[in-house]
This record gives sequence, C-alpha cells and structure tokens, in this order.
Amino acid sequence: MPANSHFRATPKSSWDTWSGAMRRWRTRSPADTLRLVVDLNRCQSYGQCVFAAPAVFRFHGAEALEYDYAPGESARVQVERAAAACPVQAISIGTPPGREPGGPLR
Amino acid sequence: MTTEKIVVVGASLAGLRAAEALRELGFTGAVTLIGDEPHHPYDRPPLSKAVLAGRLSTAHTQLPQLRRLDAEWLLGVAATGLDLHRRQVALADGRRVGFDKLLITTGTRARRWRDPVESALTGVHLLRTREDAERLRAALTARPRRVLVVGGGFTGSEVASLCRDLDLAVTLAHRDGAPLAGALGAAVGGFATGLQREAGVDLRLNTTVERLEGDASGRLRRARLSDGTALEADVAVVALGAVGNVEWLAGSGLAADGRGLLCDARCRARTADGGVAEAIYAAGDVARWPHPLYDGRLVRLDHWGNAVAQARVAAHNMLHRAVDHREHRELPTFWSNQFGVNLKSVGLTAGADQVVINQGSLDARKFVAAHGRRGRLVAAVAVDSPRVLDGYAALIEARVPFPPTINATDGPAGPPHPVPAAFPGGHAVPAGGHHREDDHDHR
Amino acid sequence: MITVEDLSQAELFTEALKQANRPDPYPFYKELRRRGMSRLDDGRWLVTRHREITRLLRDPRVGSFQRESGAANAGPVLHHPDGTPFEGSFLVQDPPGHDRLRQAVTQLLIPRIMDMRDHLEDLVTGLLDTHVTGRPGQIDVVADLAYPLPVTVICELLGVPREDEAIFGDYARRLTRGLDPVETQTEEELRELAVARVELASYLSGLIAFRREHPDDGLLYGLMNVLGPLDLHATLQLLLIAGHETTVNLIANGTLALLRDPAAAARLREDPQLATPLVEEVLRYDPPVQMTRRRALADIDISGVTIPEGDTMVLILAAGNRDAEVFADPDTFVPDRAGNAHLAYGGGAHYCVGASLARAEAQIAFTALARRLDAPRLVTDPPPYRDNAVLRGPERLLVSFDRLTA
Repeated sequence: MPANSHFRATPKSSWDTWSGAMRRWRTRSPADTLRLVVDLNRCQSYGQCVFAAPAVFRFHGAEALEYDYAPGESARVQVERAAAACPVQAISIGTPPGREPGGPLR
Repeated sequence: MTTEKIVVVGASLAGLRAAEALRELGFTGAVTLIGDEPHHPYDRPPLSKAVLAGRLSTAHTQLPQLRRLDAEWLLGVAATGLDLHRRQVALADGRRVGFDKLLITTGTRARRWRDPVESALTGVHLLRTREDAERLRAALTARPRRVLVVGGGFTGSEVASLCRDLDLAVTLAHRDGAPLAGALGAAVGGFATGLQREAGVDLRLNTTVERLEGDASGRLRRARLSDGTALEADVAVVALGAVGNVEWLAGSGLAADGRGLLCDARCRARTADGGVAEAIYAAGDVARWPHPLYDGRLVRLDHWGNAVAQARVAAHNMLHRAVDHREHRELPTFWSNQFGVNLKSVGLTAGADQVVINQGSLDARKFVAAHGRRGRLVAAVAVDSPRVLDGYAALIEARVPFPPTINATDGPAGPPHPVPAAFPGGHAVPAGGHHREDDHDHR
Repeated sequence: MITVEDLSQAELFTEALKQANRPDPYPFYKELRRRGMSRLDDGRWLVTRHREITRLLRDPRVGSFQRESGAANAGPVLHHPDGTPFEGSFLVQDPPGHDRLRQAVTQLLIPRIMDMRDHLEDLVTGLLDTHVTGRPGQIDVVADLAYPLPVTVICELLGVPREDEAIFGDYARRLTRGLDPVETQTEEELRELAVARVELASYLSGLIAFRREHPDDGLLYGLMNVLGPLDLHATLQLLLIAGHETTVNLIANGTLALLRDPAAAARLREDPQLATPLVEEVLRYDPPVQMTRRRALADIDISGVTIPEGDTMVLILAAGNRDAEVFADPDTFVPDRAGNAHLAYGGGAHYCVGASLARAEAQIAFTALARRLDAPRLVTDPPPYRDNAVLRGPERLLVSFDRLTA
C-alpha cells in the first residue's frame, strides 16, 4: 500500500473541516492575491503539503491530491511552507493572472 | 527584423506559461493575450473531479501568474481570422491586432454531440469550461434518476466515477472493448473495466449511442443504444474527445484541420503548402508535431504537462535565431484520478504492441504496466504507484529494450510475460493520428 | 603537500568518514563528485551527483540495503509466528513488505502530528524558559534544546513516561552508531551496539506490556494492534532512532549555520517566515543524514557506467546537495534559497516518514533561538562532533549570549 494512505483513515470530520474552510474562502477579501498550482505530473504524493497546509491540500483517496488554487491571504504562510516542503518542487505560488505581482519585467 | 510585439491567441494554461517564459527570457516588447473565454486562465483538471463533486468552486480553480507580465489581456473575444501577409489577427468584435510574432495556443474544445437538435436538449452536457462544470454540477445536484456518459475516455470515466461517489445511477457507453483502452491499451483498459463495474457503473462496452430523445418540453428523456436498449436518463454527458480550435485559421494558409495545427518539433507552424510559417508558433493542445523521441510520429496531446513544456520551448524559439532553436521532445506525461485510484502515465502508450506488469498486481489495484513498441520500452502506466515513474521515464528516454529487466521486489516472480497491448484497431496506427482523440482528451 | 586530487576514490571516502574530518567532509565529497560514479575495490559504488542520486532513489531496479549486507545489522535470523523470516524494519525492507509496514505507521502517526505546531511551540518555549537571564550566559544548544525536543516528542507519541525520557534517549544515541559503514566501527563498538539493542528491546517489552494492560488511543497501542511482535519492535526502534537522532542534528547543524552567518540570524529575527526556506537550506547545506545505502536489483546503466545486479551503492546525499549543476553557489548558505531540491530526506518509497515533523520542530526551534538570544556567539568553532558519520552532527554546541529573553 502507498505511503500516504493514512489519509484514508483520517476521520471524516477533517474532510468536512476542509470543505468548510473552502466554503469560507469562497468569499474572498479584496486583498486576495494568492494563487497556487500543483504540477500533478511531478507530484509523487509524498504528502508534505497536506501536513504543512491541511486546509489547502488534501488527499482524496490514497494518492490523489486535491487543493484550493485560491485559498485566500490567511493561508499564505501555510502555503509557503507547503511549497518549500514539497520534495519535487511541484507547487508554484503566484498572483491572480492580470494582476501584476510587481518586480522586474526581465 | 526585430520583434517588438508578440500576440498570443489562446489565454489558457499554455498561453499564460508562454507569456511568462517570454518575459523570463528577456523579452521587453508588447505582449497581448487573446482569449475567447471571459475569464483569466483557470485550470481544467479539477473540473471533472473536485468541482463536479462540489468540493471546489470554479472561482477557486484560477491559475497563478508566476511572474510580472505587463501583458495586454483581451478576454471574452475570439480570434476569427489570421492574415499572415499583414501579420494581423482579426477579432470577433471587428478589431485587428498586429504582431511581429504570433503564438497559437487556442487549444481544443469538447466535441459536440453530432445531432444539433439532440445536442440542444436540456440535460445534454459537455465538460470543458468552467460554465460547463457549473451547469453539470447543478444538474447532478438535482439528483437525476440516471446519468448517461457517452464515451469512456478519461473525462467520461472521471464523470462516471464522480456520479458513483454521489451515489447516482450511471451508464457509460463506450465504443471500444474497455474504457481508456484507446489511450492505455486493453490490459489497463481491462483493469479500468473492473474498477467501473465494481463501483456500480452500468458499463456498456462496444456500444454506441444512436439517439438522444427528449420530451415535448425539450428535456432529455432517454437514449437509444446500439445494443438495442432504450435507456431512461435525465442527464447525458457527451465525452467524445476534443477538436482543435482551428476554424479561425481557415484560409490563413496554415496546415490546420480538426486534428490540430501542424507544426514542427521547434513549435513553428507549418503552412498548407508544406513550408514553415516563420513568425508563427504553436503550443499546447492545438499543436500537432512530430515527436523526436517517437521517430517523428505526429502527436497531438491534450495534456497539462505538454502545454507547459511546449509553451516554454515555443517562447524560447520565438526569441532566438533558428540555429539556437530547441526541439520540443519532452516525454508525454499525464494523470487521472478515478474510482479511488491515481493513474499516471509517462511516455506514449498509444501505438504500443506489448504490455507487461512490472510491479504490483492488477488485483491489488497497485501496479506499473510497461508498454513496448517494436522491442523498445515506450511508456509506463502506474496505478497508485506515483513514486517509481521517474525511474521508468529515464528508461524510456534511454530507449531500453522491451521488456525491461527491472527485478523489482514487488514484481511478478519469474521472467516477465508480456501480452499484446491490444489497442483498439490493432497495430495499424493511422499515420498522423495515432491518438484516438476520444481517448486522449485528458486536460 | 597532498591534496584531495592525489587521493583515490577509496581514500577520499575514508577521509570523508574520518572523525578528524567530521566538521567538514565537504571538500572530499566535492572531489568525489567531480570524479562521477566511482566503484571501490570492495564493489561499493559511491554516488555523489544530484542527478544520479535522484534517479537511483526513485529507480524501481534499486532495492534497500538489507541486513545480510552489513555486519552492523547482522544477528540471528528471526521468524514471525507464521514461520516467515523477519526482514527487519521498513527502513531496510523493499515493497511490498515495506509498503505494508510503512502504511501502518503513517496511518497512525500522521494524524497524531497534524496539529502539533502549537504544542511544539510550547515545548521549545519551556526548554528555553529555564535559561532565561538578563545577563550574559551560555547554553549548549544540543543538550538544552536540540536533544530534548525530539526526544520529548517521540516519547509523548509512544507514551514513554516523562521520567524515562533520559534512558530512552540514551538508547537512541548508542544505537545510532550502528548505521555507520561497518569498516568505521571497532569490535567493541559492535559489541556495545548489540548490548544496547538487547537493553532497548527489554525496555520496549516492558512498555508494550504496560500498554496492553492500559490501552489508550496512542500511537504505541495502535501499532500493537496492527503489527506482530518482531515488526513492532523493529518499528519502534526505527521510530526512536530515525525520529530523534536526525532531528537533533538538524537543529544543531542549523543553529551552527546561523551562528556562522549572523546576517541570516538577524534576518530570521526580523522575519520569522524566513524559517520556512531556511530549514530547507539547512537540510541542503548540512544534512542530518549524510548518506544512504542501496543495492542494484538489476544491471543499471547510468552516466556511462553499468552498476551490476547485486552491487551496493552509497548515495551520498550530502554530496548531491552541493552539486553546482543544481544549486547556484552550492557551498554558500543561502537562507532564502528558492526551489531547494535537496536530497536530505531521501526520495522514492523510503522518503523520510517524519519529514514534516522534523521540519516543524526545526522551524520553531530556529525562530525561537533567533528571537530570544541576544548577540549569540559560537564558543568553539568548529564544535566537537559526535563519532557518527552517517547521522552527523555536533556533540555539543556551546553558545554564549548577552541575554536570553522570555
């Protein structure tokens, strides 16, 4: 069995918590500038992101990662921890497209 | 001539990543992104999974922009024509946008049901865009008595899986002998058959849908299947693959048809007369090109990873002289989650002539199936085994003989026993069309 | 003068393992890396480049280094109640046996550490609070923080009584030496190892017996319900060593890096979020586990050589972590390094089970040290190192300061 299948055993309530958190995030503040994406080809389901940011990342099944692309500013620290912890650097953090993140053009 | 203005037609994943790459590579001129959808780029893979399940709203699928772009976004307006000579793109609202170089990332769209009247029945759905997903989600939330899924490729199978998660009755009609068989061969397709049946999907194989029938109010009521049955269903999801968004290129002189836009391995668009359109490039789902790792066979991939990788190559080549061009030779990879398993693939499965289970077992629902073609390893499919695929990717790139000697500790005892991969239609891979599009519609 | 260029691969490896070079084995790794895939006369392959290590860690033709291959792990062959031979802990097992054991552990362990951050903060606060002073003073970061923190965490997880933590921690230290290459160990050390193993087994038996009488919802009782006696003992021993000695070194190595780079420490003090990339950089720059062993299950062609079936490989993670092909300026500690693809936790099936917990412990420890120590200085540079070559780290890390605030 896979290394991360413990997520099957987590109580249903934590799943509900996740969905609940995401429902809350559906109303985002104007300061909401956090967007993220996981390259699920690179992802090997090590589960480090789920530990670092349980409200954003979640296994649905043994090896199937799901996540919120726009979890809101309040999740930024957690998401940054998740991105840093990813063993295969599959998590990219950015801004909503069309809203410039600043920094040099080149 | 110098490049001062680059236009990207197609503002989804490939277009966004290409624009970012242009900036990363130092392009400081004007970048314009044109998209027919009203939204900034969002990700499509969750639409058939977390979104349909109600775990994620479509607003939460927006893709991140990963660097400063200073791009002009023209959204909600389709490109309707291309004038190669004047270097102009015509838009649906009558505007014309000039360019020095053009990148075409218009992607594909879901193939519609063939009969327009039947297609217009309330309850008949496609699944490609945010709005498609929202409509289908609403339809599923209304608890239909039965959902009919037309087509057993990745999208169709994921929808069927989702329906079972929601405890909805679902029938999946598939014209081949096994779901996913067009992309993964009969062996893995047989495994998928087992998954679906065990999950309670009413799976009708070697069966096509002949007619969709509505009532007086224009609501879908039933479907007539080729096996002679009349199936009562309130919702039908048409998942018959994808067609390239190339109509706007009609008359432009580029080599485009329903199979996509032909380009070379350097992402340069080909012209209908066999030449190369110097300033025109293509990337992502719409591009069809000779893959260097597969003996130059023409490939069009509706794959997330391909869109990202090809966009980067195209951007590089747009900014470099021909001698510094790169070839797009990345190994195809894709993934799917359905019926509780994670399925990942590396290499080009389609066209394989043999398959062998190298690790795990079908019974354990955890295995790696290596695919061979003419005595070489060409692809590997991993079910709930995502951590070994890198190893197979290296073997595929090294073009090792098939069957490969792995001796994995969770492999079968004794020497490997390859079996025919048995892709639908046998080994007769149609030239230039080795992918059955209805089975490689994964996004 | 003899330089590293004059040494053979075997000599370079010997030098890297020598206690005298423990503070800085990196020049020897660098020369080994320059030479590429190296096969020693005894048949072992030294793998030092990032690309090759990454590939081999995830290659299905690569198996774990099993017990019969090393005297350090030798012992009588034991059998499970059903008569099948006991294969050791999941650290040294391959799929499918590895997967079954690992799954049992992760299913029970991960939910119990998911929401532990606040508790870890409390533990770190408590450990430093005992040293609070407004005057100049000194602490040993190893004895006062790096060591007790993970011991307490693993003891709490396993339900080891607080008063036994010192004994329990002592077993871990003594057993850690068993992970080193066997040629670096004396007869006496090997004997001592066997004694430590028996003593720990005896202690664990008592703990298990107690827990059987007093069931709870803890990790130990959970493991007792899903593992047979041999697997249970092997797993507990693994959790003890792997879940503890590694984190001690992570915290100590990172503190050392911060003390040598006061600007980084000052930045962390200003910006606690720097702890996130900083911990990854510590894991890269000075990893707690320097190397890991594997064996070839089939002939493996890699980088122009063929590793024959049956050969042993030493994947020097610490060497791959400084590969200039992957990391710009690899010998420099860059606290906010982005896209840090370090190899500290291994990869593939054996990726560190406790990686998340160790990261959280280290992030919290570094942040607290940076915030609470005024003008910290390293008393001895380099600090004294422990004997261990594989789980490498300082024995003591004396730090003087002007104040230790609350």
